[in-house]
Amino acid sequence: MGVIETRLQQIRSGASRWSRRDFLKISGGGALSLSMTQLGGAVSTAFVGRVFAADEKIAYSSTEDLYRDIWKWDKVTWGSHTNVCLPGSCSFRIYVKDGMVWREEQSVNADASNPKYPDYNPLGCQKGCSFHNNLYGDERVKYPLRRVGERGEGKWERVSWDDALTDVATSIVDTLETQGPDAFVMDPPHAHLGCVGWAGSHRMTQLLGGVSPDLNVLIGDFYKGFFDTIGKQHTGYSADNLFDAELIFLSCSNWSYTNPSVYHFLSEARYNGTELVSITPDYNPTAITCDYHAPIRQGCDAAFWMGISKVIVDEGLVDEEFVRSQTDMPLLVRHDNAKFLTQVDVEGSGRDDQYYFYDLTSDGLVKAPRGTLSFTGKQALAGHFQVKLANGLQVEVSPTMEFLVAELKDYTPEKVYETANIHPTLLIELAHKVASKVTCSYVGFTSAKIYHGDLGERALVLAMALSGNWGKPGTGWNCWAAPADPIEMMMVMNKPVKQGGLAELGQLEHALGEKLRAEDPDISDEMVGIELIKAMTTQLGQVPPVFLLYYHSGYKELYDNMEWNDPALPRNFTAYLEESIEKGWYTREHVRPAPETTPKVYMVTSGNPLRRLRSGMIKFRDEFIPNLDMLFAIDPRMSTTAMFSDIVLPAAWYYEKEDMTLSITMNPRMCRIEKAVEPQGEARPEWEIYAAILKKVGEVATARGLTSYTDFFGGERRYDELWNKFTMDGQVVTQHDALREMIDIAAATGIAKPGYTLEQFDKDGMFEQQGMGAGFMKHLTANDYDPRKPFFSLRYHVDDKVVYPTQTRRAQFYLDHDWYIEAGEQLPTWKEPPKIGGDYPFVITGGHPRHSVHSTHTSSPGLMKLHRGQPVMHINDGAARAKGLADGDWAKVFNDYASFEIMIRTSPTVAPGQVIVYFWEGYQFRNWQIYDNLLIGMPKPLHLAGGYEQMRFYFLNGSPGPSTDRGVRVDFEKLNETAATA
Amino acid sequence: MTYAPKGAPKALLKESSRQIANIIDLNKCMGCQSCTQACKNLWTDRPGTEHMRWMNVTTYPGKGYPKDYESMGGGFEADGTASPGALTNMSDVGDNFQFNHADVYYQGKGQSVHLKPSSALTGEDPQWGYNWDEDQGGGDWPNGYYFYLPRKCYHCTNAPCIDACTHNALFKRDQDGIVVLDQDRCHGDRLCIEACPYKAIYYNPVTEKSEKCVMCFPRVEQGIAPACDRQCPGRTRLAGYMDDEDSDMYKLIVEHKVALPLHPEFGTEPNVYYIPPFDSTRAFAEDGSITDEGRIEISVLEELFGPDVGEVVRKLKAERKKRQNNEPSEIMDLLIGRNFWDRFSELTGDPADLDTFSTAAMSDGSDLG
Repeated sequence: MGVIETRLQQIRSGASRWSRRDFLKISGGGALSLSMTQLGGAVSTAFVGRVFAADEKIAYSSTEDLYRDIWKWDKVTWGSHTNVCLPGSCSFRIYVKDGMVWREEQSVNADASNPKYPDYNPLGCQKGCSFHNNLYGDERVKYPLRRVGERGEGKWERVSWDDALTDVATSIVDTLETQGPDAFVMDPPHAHLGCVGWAGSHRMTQLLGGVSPDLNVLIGDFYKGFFDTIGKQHTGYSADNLFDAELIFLSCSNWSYTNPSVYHFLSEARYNGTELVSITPDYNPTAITCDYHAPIRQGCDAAFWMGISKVIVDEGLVDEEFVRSQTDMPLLVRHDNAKFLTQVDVEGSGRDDQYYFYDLTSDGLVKAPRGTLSFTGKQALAGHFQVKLANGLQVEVSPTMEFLVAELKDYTPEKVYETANIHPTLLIELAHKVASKVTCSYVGFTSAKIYHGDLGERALVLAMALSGNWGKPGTGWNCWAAPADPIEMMMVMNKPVKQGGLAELGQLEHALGEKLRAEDPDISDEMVGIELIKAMTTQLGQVPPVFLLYYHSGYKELYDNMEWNDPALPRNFTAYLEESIEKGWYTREHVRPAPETTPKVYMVTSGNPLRRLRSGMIKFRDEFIPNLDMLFAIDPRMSTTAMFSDIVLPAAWYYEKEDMTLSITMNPRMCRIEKAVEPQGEARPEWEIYAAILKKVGEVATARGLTSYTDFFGGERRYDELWNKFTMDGQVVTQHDALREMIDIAAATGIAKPGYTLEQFDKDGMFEQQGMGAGFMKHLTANDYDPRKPFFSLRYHVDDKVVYPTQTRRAQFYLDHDWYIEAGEQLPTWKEPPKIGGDYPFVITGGHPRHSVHSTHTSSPGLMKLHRGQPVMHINDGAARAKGLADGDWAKVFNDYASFEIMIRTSPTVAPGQVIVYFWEGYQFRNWQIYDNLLIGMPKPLHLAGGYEQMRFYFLNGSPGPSTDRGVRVDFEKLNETAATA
Repeated sequence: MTYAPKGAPKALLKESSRQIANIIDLNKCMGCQSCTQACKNLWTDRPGTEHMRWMNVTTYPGKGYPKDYESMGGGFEADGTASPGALTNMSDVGDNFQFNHADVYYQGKGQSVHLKPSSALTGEDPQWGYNWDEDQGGGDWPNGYYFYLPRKCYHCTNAPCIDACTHNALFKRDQDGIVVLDQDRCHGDRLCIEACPYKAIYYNPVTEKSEKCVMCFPRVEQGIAPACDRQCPGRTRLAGYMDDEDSDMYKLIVEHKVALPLHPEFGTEPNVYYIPPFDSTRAFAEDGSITDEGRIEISVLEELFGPDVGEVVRKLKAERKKRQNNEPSEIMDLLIGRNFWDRFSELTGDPADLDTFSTAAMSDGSDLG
């Protein structure tokens, strides 16, 4: 018998069963039986030319039909995943089969701005392409649940919607009666929630008169350094703007993980000749496609950019015209007190924000125009001048540039190498490129989570100013901008658009503008818009988030630890806070709930504070939550926070409710989300849940004979009006009603084409953003919006010489605020990162993982099968070896404050002094000891400064960020095997 | 071919009138696994297929997928006959982790249990799984390096799996050259798995048959690109027929010769080609200074793409240089592919337009949503 015949006989005698068993054995080739391998090499020669078992006339088509039959569906709808990530707005088609979402696939309907640029197709990522797995996943909540055990214990009873709503409404009424509305706090929902839910949740909170900490600041996405410099952060660009750049810096970011839908613009720009530089401590998964990796020491970006600036200045490469026109570099600063020279100084009266140039044309002092950047003379950028003040004093003044040049002395390439680990050869080469090329940056949200990240941002903008790199095609640093009028207006509108709801708001803006212009005729439209949004912010009950943590969650003891703060700051957080409040920089409108009020009801809606708050699973869990009468979560999935809730209300998820996405500059379009299937179990869309809660609040109050309560502003609010107001007198009752209203807003504000309707949207599935809307984003981006061109910001300032919304009305690098001068931060500078967490040798970094957006997908089985399925910590292979650890071992990671256990993953691409942990759910860690517990989230006390134009708080902007966690100090040790398997 | 006459020479099973092919651009791949999920959610979420990733992406250098496939043998002997390599087991092909959600959420155990994976194979903590060595790579700090390597069945012109099957279960479709594994003929012997040097065939322990990438032929025959290609947000893919000389894909493979098959030395003549990473991040010298050299040594690429890769890298670098000097470059324009649909020539259809594919429409002709 030949070998093949032998083999066939073995197979026919039952080998297929054996094969199955072999396949299901863990060990490798050793366990194989009856495979060709074991028959030896000699068998192979027998393959070709053999007559095999094929039967004549058996069609192959049945198998083809088998696979064709899989690829069938019943109906197709439009879908997307709201703005679970940034930029989002990936249009999908949803394929429904047998009443369930079978799969989803990108619609591929996104045009290029124009054919010279790559189009946006196909948009999407592995999360979006798998979302139906979330819909039907094990983490889905399908029925209202009431806690019957301890918080977090996982003991529940299923209750009716009516019972659950009654529980929630009763605690709200109790709280309004005993504590007042400030004791109702809404956890700020993320855009995960969807546009309708986002608007609805804030509308509900606003109508109750409750409080909500600002989302953008809370999550550490507020770029304080950009805000300090140009007076705003919402200066986005479209992804195809990158195609116009000749040099792109990717800083504090990792697009491969965080921006997969538009990542291709980077690789395509590179093919087009653009050079890419990644400034990142580790050689991260995006750096691998860059031309240069600048292996920055964590937290030292400021030194890098100051070094770049020094080369540009020393080699005479400064774009002086740009610097003169756009920046404060020509403004005169007094040598005696380090302050700008003001009109009050010179004339003894007038404005204390009227500053001066030294004009070389007239050879004398000239007032810097406050209403325009235009100047007919030629300002001095260097020199020392004597000025006689009104009080008779003779003082020496110099242009800011003179002070900058002095500051730059410390940033020679050699010193930058010492501090920031950027070799002089690399620094100088890059500086020459910055000075000569159209340069763009992308600064990721990590920057906003670095203690001195503001200094890095200020230094970056400085280098861009010196090289004339903004307000032009192919430039920018992108902090995102969004025409969010449909959401924002829906939070506050009293009546539908068609009944004049927007006109009311327009009248408010007009009146405010009149008032402000009477006080200061030089004020810009942009600054009026900012004042309006400040007023709206207060009305909405949006507050700086740091106060909730400081006063009500026990973070004071962490923030006041001087060892963990910048040693250049002479006082602790509390002292800065007290001074700030005493000076009226932060007022009772900001410090809500007031320190003496105890928050009693906390509403979570598609948020996850116990994952999101740094050290939240210690501080927030143990010091905030226990004081609550009611913690309730409206969520489609069982988050760590939902596990600790008293009531969990099941929310419909994408594909189960009507919604739309928000357009973000990076991907300027809005996508329709249709209700493809009925919600799972008893889940409901959020708008209808909020309405139901308010209705129940009215019923409970009426049953108890209650009619009204007093709000924060001293006004009376009637219980029985809450639902009416929420629904605009019964006109906006359903999620679908709300969406229709939001499309009307989009059309009325120029975000969609005039007259655009929901019916048309249903046909199109997606529309391109037509404008920046009528809200504050329009001014902040400062450029005309044309969907047929790549978008970049700040052009009005550069081309039209419109002033910036800053103290000096110029891009301002010199901040003559007392606190900044005291801290040595009046100019961009590099400071040694503080040892937050203690004096340990490793810095921890992390952020948005590849396979989840925040915690939305971290526990989805389909996506967890794309990696090790559990938290890992990335460590340099050599550093791990030095500690006796190998890949796959378990480590205990610790600092002064907390510890956690985790598997390690080693790589030579991680910097030797660095460890990296990306987001995971709390309950994915042993004993739920989440890595975030070590992070503290230390806010920089200096950011409590106020009394200065750009040091202000409004919706999405301003105040200290309590998620400052990059570069916290840690150490780790090997866990022994018994612990590892426990 | 439609029928396999008894005793048909294997050459007949390998014949096709047309051949579909792919380019995957490794300079654009970000390792996001969208292709993996596009495929999985379409084809391998059925019982017995959950561990399969017909489309997969791993980090290179690394063990690859299936684990260590490059050292498992297969392909051809010196005399041109199919060579039996090793078999893969369920761990090698990435396992199918199981999770304990209900235990964490609803059993009243509080923080004493946490959500974690267990191996579907052993029930224990997994020691290996799909993409286990993601982002690890090779080299030494500060010159560590890696890139992502997406792989699927290469629908080889000279496919050893076809030779190896004793039941003629594997054949190339005449109209597009897609290699299909016939589920009626398959006996689950896995000789094809042994013979495939890329280990792109998988065993289904439920049906006790083997399965493999079908290149989405139900889509392709409707003029729609395979799911992994159409759904790749990195725009790494081009797809089309090798006889379409006007296609961007053809130009890159045949005219400009900048796309190469993986492991050409296996001799199977794959029909999926790669644009190799050609301008890798500049390396640091020992003294820390920046050099003009890339981090990925040419020898690393030669191991994957054979001796021709050096010339391809040189050509691509020169073309990119042209763009930096503001000179035109057809190759760079083709690789940019401004219009997404230019990358798919005949395969530009939209599945959402195919209302005849609705099961409802087929059964009762009812209106579509």
